[in-house]
Amino acid sequence: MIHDLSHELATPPHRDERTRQEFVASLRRHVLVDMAAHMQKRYASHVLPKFETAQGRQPEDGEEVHDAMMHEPYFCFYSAVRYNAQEMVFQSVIPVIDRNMEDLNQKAQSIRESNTHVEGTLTLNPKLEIPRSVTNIDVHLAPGSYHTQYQENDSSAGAIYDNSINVFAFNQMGRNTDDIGHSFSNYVKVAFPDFKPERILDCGCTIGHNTVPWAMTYPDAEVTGIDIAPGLLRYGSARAKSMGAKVNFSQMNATALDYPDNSFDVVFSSMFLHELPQKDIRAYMKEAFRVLKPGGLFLTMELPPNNKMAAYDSFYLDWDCYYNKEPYYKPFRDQDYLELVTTAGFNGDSFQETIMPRYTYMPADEFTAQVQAGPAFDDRTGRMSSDIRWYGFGVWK
Amino acid sequence: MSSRIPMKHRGKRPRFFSANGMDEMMSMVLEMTAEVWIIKKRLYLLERVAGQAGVSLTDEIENYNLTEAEITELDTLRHDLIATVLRSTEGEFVATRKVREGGGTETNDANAETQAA
Repeated sequence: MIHDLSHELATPPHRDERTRQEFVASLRRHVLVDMAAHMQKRYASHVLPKFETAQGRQPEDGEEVHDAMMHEPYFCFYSAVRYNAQEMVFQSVIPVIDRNMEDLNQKAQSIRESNTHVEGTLTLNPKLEIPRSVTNIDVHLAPGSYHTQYQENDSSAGAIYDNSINVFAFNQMGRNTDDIGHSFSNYVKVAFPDFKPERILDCGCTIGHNTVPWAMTYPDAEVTGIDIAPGLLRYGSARAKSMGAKVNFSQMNATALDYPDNSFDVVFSSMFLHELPQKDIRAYMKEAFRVLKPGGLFLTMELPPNNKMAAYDSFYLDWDCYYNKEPYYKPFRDQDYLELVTTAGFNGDSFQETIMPRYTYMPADEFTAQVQAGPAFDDRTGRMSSDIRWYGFGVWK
Repeated sequence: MSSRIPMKHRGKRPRFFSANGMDEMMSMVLEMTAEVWIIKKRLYLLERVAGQAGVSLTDEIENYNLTEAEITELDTLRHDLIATVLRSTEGEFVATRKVREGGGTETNDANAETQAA
């Protein structure tokens, strides 16, 4: 069973449509939990011994594992099921959004303009050029990618994202697919209790699902989410208001932030860097350094770097790069994250990697205890499963 | 089904299998499984809705005695379903393998035979 969205923009599917979405969510779970476990056993029992016999050593990295696995029949089945499941996510969601497009857009606008919802601005820039890295590819097989608009004042891209990630996550990313935002904002609160951020910026926020938790964790802070795509931001603004969270949304390219120097106490992002070309990652991080106040925190939730992972685990996470239209995934994960932050201008002495459990899946005191104990890096880190551990890195200015 | 929002992503789909048609076959199997699940769940709900209306569909179905005519009709429907699903494995579309006397196999290309004749 997957949850209905818990805000006013929820667009209930017909019974059979919901059943199809549940099927796809179950299929996703099957491939990412059950088939993934079996594939790893096949690697250990068949592929690795063959490699060791032929090469006289173990694979050095994920690429060598990938080359070896491509001839393993179970890898072919795993990949085919996983690829099809990804396509089916969108095919189970799009007909619902398409049918309800006018009502959805009217409702979203009504919420944004109402006097009865919390404040929160939406600033769009129709002249902003959407980068080709976004327009040229249907990232993670999403038809139309993030940026496409289908009518005037359109929020469809946001609705597709919200509903599709609900199916994609098979209930593992939080009740409102916002566990990352809750986990990271509460990690900061637990780990740095004297830190009281006044202005928080979430870059590449999409629909603000991980931005809203910052407003909840730090209710006195001014929280802003920026993204390149107008449809996501229209939807996100209405969504946040509907959830009672005061968040400002602005259409902006994170590589050229329209803020003065030293503007923010926190610059956060989640699942953002791996969607950027290398030059954009570096440009964004320089901007993050610029707009952070002295003593401010740059923090990002991401996938762990390949240089910290066993060869098989690297291969496993790199699958999206090869087969899920995420071309920047592996080039990002091949980077040295410390080098990224120091090149941007940060002093690497305060560079910190962090692994944390999911905040919304346990009592708050248990989350606190686990954060304070410092969870270890293991094969659950960054792997979408029923026991995922989020990975992040950060640095103080 | 027309849609203003595209249903298909841009770009080619990867090939995971070396055998032609296998990738498409996998897609068909998964889509069909989804359709089967939708039907199964609807039947499940149908029985429960009927139960709430005072009709124990579950018991009625378990105890229903098919007439001869219904048995014959179901036989035909079932046979047609199997034949339809397995249509691509029949007749001229298949390169059959014959077991050679003394062991081994040879491929008997039905098309080649047809052309030779």
